[in-house]
Amino acid sequence: MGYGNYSSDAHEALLRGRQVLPTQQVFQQRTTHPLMDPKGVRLRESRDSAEHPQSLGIAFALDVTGSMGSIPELLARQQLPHFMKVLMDCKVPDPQLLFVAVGDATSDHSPLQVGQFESTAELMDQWLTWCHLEGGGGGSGEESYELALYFLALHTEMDCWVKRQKRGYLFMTGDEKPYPILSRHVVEAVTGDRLDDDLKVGEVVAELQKTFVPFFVIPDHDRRRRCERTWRDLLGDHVLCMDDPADVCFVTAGALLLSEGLVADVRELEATLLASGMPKERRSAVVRTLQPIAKAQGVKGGGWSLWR
Amino acid sequence: MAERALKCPQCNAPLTPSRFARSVVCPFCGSTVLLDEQAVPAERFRAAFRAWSSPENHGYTSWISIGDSHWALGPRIAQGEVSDVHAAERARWPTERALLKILRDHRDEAGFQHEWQVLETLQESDAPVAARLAARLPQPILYGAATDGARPGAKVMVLRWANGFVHTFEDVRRAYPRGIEPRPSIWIWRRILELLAFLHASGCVHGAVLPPHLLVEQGEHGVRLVGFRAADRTGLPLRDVCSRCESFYPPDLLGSRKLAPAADLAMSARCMAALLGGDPASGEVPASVPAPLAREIGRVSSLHESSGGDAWQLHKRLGELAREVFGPPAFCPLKMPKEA
Repeated sequence: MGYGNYSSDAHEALLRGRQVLPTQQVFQQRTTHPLMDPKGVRLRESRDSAEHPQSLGIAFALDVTGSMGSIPELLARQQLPHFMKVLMDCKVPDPQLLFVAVGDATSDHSPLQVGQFESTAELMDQWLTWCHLEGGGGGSGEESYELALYFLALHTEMDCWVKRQKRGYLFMTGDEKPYPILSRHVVEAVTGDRLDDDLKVGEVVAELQKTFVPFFVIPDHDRRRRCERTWRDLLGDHVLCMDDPADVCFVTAGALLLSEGLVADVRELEATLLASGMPKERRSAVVRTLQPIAKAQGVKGGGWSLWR
Repeated sequence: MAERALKCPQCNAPLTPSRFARSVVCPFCGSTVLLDEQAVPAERFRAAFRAWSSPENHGYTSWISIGDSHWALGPRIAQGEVSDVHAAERARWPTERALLKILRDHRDEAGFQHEWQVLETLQESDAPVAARLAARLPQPILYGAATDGARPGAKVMVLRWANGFVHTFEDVRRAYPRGIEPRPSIWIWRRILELLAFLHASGCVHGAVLPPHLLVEQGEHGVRLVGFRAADRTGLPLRDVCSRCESFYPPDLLGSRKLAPAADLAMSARCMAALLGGDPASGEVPASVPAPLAREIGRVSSLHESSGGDAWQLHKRLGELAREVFGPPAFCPLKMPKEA
């Protein structure tokens, strides 16, 4: 997968008219799409090709439970082209996007859905809108994020890593904690893999971070308190708490630019995001969310540098 | 009955797996041969976790361990009454920036532990706007004894790092002995009052709103309140008095030693008086401070503990006062001389 070129015009054209459509018409799946069912999937691949010699795998794992359905909607209606535009403007070579939908394995019919790494607007949009927004999730304060992390750790292969030892990116959105233990029975039921023991979530993250730069994105401050500490214990400063879910594309694109070292300082980051369509009124909120990452990367203006 | 003949793909030796086995180890060359294509060994993840949790693998050469987490110690950035405060980061990737408070003398452990408990309780508060205001207080990460590293056995409190809060009010006073401009003092006081309002709504009184416990943000309108060792439930006795800052305590509090919200407000007004170049004990400020603001500082710094003390009300009054005196709100961060 990953053939074809990205065109922001084509992407904008796809999204035109979606603003007024009801959610059920944008996301028409009422069950897991057969091509997004992870059962029996060996690998999802992000490969180099003549058109894309420097492919970079980027996975968006979107929480599609009841409280989080707005982010996939935002991406499908208006935001995804912004993310791609920032990457294009900053000359990120050959990004290939994979969409994963995350639910709750203890209560949902579609606890995990996995698309393919894609380079074109049409195919990215196809996998995104094929996601079944089940709107489930339990009342336990946990969702099966660790199952998605497991799948990405074990069932993806990216040439950026295989050929160049450069990790891909994972942006996982969510507002709950992961289950502390990934049951081998859940893994077998959903993916078909036969694990010989249950796994702790930390063990899954340890395997994942070998090939991905993981970020967990919390939609707003009210939901921060439910889960932030648990995620920070796993991912440290790579937990980003937004002011508003509508900032998701600029926050994720900004985190990628900072991690790739494509902007010299926070001011340049701000200017880049504004040039790529970030509304002025969102400027300070987005920069505030990204400041800890800027600091961690030692980027000028990221804050008071103590020892770097 | 059909028999399944198995050979090691590495050395071609015959394999004799037990029934239902997912893998078998070749007795000749020692290779592990997976018999079930869907089988995934959990050991792969465990090994990854062991490697991920070892600071050496991330390039760290020294660290202190608390339980099973490891923290690389940076420079000491402050010295509290009972603890040293260091910048630190988790010795792992992705890392987490943090503040490590290391207790100097184990005899002070009771107060140190009390501070930790207060901070934890405040993070769980369901007071109004808690989601935003709790994030402006020191956020607890971990408490425990260092098991190795430079200070084995010392009690350590790991708190979340906050960017840009470098200068305490003491630093500001040193930089501006004649007092800061009156205009930024409005937002500074209002930020303190927001934190105090949250504390009071959570049933807690800080009890030590003093210049060394207040930090002002570089280039922004932010203030942080730290030093929660004296904080406790409203009405309980004051646990500790900082002797070098005695003039910032209202006489009521030193007399009754009973924690009341009004005492926090009075102390905040005394800090503002000091910041403006005035006298904390009397609440008097230089003549350059506009009269309505000077009157408000004087009034609040001698607030009686029985007067209740509503921080939100004072916050609102200050907003109105600022509009009268300075006009519409404007962005005027406090500039320290070096940055000017």
